[in-house]
Amino acid sequence: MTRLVWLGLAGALAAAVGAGCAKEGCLGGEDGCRVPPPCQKVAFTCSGGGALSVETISAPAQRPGGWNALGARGDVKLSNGVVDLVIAGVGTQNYLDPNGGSILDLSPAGQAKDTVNSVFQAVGILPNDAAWYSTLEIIDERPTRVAVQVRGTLDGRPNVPVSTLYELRPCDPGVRVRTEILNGSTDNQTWGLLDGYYWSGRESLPFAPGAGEGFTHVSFGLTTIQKAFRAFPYFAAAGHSGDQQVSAIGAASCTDPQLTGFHSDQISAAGLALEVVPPRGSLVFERFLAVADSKDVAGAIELLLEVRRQVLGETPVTLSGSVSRVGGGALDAERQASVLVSERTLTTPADAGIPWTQVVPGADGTFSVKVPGDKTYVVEVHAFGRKEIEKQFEVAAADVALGDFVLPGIATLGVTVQDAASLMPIDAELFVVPETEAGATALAGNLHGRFTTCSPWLGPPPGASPACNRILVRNGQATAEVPAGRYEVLAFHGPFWSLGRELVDLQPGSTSLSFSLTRLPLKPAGALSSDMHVHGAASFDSSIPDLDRVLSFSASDLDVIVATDHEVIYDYGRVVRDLGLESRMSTVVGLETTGHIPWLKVKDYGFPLVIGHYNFWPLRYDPSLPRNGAPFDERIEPGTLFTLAKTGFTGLEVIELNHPWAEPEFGRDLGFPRAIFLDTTKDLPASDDGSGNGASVYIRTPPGAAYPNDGHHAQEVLNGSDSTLHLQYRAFWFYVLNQGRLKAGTANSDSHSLTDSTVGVPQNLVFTATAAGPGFDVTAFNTSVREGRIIGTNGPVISATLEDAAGQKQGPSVKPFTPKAGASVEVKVSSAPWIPVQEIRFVVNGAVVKTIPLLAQPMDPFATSGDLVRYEGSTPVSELLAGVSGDAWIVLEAGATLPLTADLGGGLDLAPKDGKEDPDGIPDTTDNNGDGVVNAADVSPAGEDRGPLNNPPLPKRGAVGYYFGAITGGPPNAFTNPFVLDLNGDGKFNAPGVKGGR
Amino acid sequence: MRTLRPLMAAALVAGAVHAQDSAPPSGPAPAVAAEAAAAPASEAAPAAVPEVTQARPPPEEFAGCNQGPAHGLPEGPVALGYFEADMATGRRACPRTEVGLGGRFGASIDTPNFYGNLGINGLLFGSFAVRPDVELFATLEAANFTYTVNAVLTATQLTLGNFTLGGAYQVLNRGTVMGGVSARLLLPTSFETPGARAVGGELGFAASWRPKGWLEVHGYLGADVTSAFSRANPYTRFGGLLMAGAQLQPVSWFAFVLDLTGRLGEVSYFAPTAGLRFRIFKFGIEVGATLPLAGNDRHDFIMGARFSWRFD
Repeated sequence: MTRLVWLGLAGALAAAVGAGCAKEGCLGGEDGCRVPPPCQKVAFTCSGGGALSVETISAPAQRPGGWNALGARGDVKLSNGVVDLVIAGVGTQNYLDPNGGSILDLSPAGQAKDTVNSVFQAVGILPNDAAWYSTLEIIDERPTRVAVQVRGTLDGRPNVPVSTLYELRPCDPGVRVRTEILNGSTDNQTWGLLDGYYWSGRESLPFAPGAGEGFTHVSFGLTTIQKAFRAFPYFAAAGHSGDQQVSAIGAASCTDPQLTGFHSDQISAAGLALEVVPPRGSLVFERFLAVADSKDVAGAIELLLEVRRQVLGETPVTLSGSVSRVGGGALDAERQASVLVSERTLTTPADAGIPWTQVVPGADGTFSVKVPGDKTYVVEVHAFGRKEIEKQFEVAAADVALGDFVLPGIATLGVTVQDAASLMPIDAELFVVPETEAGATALAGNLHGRFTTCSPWLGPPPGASPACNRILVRNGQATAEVPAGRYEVLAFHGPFWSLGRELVDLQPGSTSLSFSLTRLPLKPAGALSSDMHVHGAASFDSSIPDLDRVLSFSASDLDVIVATDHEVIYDYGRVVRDLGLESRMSTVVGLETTGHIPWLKVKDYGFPLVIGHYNFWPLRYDPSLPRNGAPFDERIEPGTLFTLAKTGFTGLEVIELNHPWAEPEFGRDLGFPRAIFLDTTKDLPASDDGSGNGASVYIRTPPGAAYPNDGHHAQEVLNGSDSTLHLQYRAFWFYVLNQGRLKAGTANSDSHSLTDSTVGVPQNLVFTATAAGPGFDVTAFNTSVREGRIIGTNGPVISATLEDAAGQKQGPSVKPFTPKAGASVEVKVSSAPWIPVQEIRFVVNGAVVKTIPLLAQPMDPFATSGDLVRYEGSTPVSELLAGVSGDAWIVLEAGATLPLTADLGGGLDLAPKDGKEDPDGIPDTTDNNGDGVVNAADVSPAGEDRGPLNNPPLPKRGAVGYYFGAITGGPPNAFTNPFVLDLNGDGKFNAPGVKGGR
Repeated sequence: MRTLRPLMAAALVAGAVHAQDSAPPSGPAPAVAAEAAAAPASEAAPAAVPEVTQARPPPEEFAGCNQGPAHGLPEGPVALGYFEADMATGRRACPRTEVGLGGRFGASIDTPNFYGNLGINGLLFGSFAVRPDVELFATLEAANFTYTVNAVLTATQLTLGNFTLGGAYQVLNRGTVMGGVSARLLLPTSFETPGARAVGGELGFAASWRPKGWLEVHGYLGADVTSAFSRANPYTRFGGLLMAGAQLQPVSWFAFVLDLTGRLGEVSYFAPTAGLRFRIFKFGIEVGATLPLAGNDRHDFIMGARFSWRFD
């Protein structure tokens, strides 16, 4: 028996000895380990050898350039003279990377062309599936290589070590990457070791070969993501911002024929296939991330095919050709010509082919691409969002000359815009609208099926002008190429100006138009037109260049703009000065915090949440710091976030709750109260009852915080030009007012481009003592904002006053006062002729108590004179407060009639547990089947408990309000902040509660 | 079978040496021992052959085992464990010769953490009573199917699973009380783990008390180690297992078993295991289920069934 025992022990010992053998890379977990050099089969050569450098960024001058560039102090920049690469320093959280170590910037060396938000490593979709790197080591082995090695674990899973090496070698047109991960847990895992590419709907679009794919990908949500997993030989993405600051990146495996992952315009994943990884299992992923100085994916794909040639022995062929246009014209932009090469025949449906590459011809019209040989290809040439030509080619193993592709001629539209009074040129925005529905259908286009479909499609919607069907006019001048057709061209200079219109038949050649716009006497004295929520290319989900962004502020005739880019503090001041606008426009440095990593739990809901979005201003802009000095905003409650932001304020601060009831996007909540399932059918407790439910979380003060979670000063009531969720934001605002938590209501565009929303539509008319321009006093402005001295509007202007007990006329504000006995609300509503106002509503304690309907509409929407007043009158307070006891607040609204809505769900399924969402007090569904009632029959898609909440259909051509709809995409809306009435004179406002004192 | 021969021979020799230590010399050497002695020198344990001089103990000394469950009925703890190929499942005290097929199904459903794992093993197992007091045994996960969920991402795997090989020797046989030591090796046969081949071993002592023909009280104390031949950290892990249970056999063709198991180690649990056993002549059936009540093991339950044919 003794020997048997010894035999067993010997076996175990042998295992241990064997296990103790030298380990691969850092999989053994040893201190001082090195991840092996990746992609050893791959080699690139160049003349001059490529100068390697590696440095830790310590000053703004070292930061790389480009709209997506993020590198900042503490991050590591590597370069080989071909490629610049920035790795986030450890402790620097960015987006979905929880603690640094991800790729922040990747671009052609020395050029401001970064198109990468973030490339990070993950094994799944949960927060704890992302790599949390805790150490970063710079490897400087010049002249052979420079590299960064990061090591850590999966986020919150210390028994799952992860190591990644990023390596640059001389001449490499990209970065070599190797990641190692080990399942040190005692459970089986499902992992796909993946690089996550966070595009966030920005200008970069992923392209991957696959049947019916290319730029088009299977749509999916968090719960259906697995069906989107595909195998593909490579993928690439190029920037499509419509300007010159773009490049292309791509990835291919250095060991395997395929990558596996998924793609969308929000995020791509590419790496190893999903597999079961039992305890002690390890995965290794080596890939080459190519970088090309090109406007198309072909630049990166050519490099990736070279990697595959070296790794797999594949030999691509070259297809070359040229594009020209009848009547000549430039061909150096993607909107003008884009060539898509797909494996299919002309008889094969386009959506069944396999797109292999896409190229933008050079200025001389020539192009060449590399593709796999021995296939039949169809070469399509697209221009202005539409496929114009396609030809079929049989390709064997030799290069093929494709010949010339001749595009139809294009019209060139020249426009001048001036102020009718001063005859001075003004900045403006043009909307090009096909004259007829048939024309709109014929001229509709998009970028290879991506981004917004526009008619006409003049350029990539998220980028520079021309974008979609919109053209910016700078200092009264604009020129743009437009496909031939009959159009209405609308000239817009904000909602308080007349709207210009010209009908034009554009044919190849040049056409000129002139507009003269009139400032209408609409904006009240002492009010500043203010948009306190705008985005530019500094945001991770925007790519409109700074110049176009600021020009759009001026085109909408705004006075004050608060920069609220996602996750980075930003300052448009320099561009304002460059454009000579500083004498009449003021920009405020600010920020929109944007939670990315779900973590917050509320009672009775199993999924982790993020806290949504908040705006902060004025803040200190420090471009040397990560996020330009923005506070860390992940895994903290709002009160803690407000506290962290406090140190960065440069004046009286405003914290604004944004789009409070917006639906989550990809599992990321956008509005805090919606995220935590706040039940607005119930009153908030006086203090946190510790229950952890939505109400408890909403009002509590996190440990160590100086603010409660509802410590914001203002909240959005209108967001976006189309006002889509206005009814929900409005309902929530009314709820908090009824709770006595008096927050100023605001109206902002939340514009990310020229296309999604027009800046200044909607906007705030802030009644303040300061003026825009050199003497602008942000503290005075913010004092007015915090006091709610604001009219929110996308066109109609409401003037409303009410005498207080002392006989002073008071405007709307969240400051309570006691009204004079027998006082009336004096109201005047006016608007530009092109902005219809159908009714005025008086809202008392959350309920509409009086409606003044059917206001007269102007006959000529393009009139530049005449009576702009739609209503003027007074209403006794006593009439409005009938049936209400206690204190009260009054809000006035003007605009379109409100659609019929109901609250069918949205809340947690608590009692009864019937598998359906409980009502939450917020309207969520409109009368979508038009039967006069809102019920389950209005809900779609099938299986949902609620929604959608639709705007009324836009007016048809020729109907009142058509042009307003063409500009905004939604109905007219305006509201005042409340008159907060201390009716019992006790010096405070006593909250009426959810029943509104009734 | 040829590759197992040295191990078998070694086990036999070890058993014979022990017999020499505990029993007076008498009678001829058993034929089976002689066979071991006749094995090629390169395959047999060194220096053991000259010592093989002891007679096998008279059969009547194994009366305790003979008084056990009816022929064909499984005995000892329910063979339903949490680890590879019967590792840490305990062991019966009495050797027997049998072969069988089995299946194991385990589920871990951790909804709050968005995790799930289903595992199905198709088992081949057998034991060979080399002598009344010596047994060799093995278990092979002939097919190992795993379905794992990480949030909404799923993956499946079907591979050859793990293989364990061991031996047991009865060291205690005092009427109604029996005891035996056992050792088991986890051999690196499985393809289920990328970059690693699991290995390990287990030593244990099994005891059985059969005060009545219808009652057996059994227990097991064991220690195990697992590791891996791996390009990565092998995470060598140790564990200790204590098991106690009883088998009630009201009729010769049926028995009910209840075991309580506690394990300490990287994976720990306290778990009851219940089993039903049947026999039809030499054909035995065992169905059982276990679920951890405490510890960090994430299984919600494991259930299994085994079908065996007894030869001795």
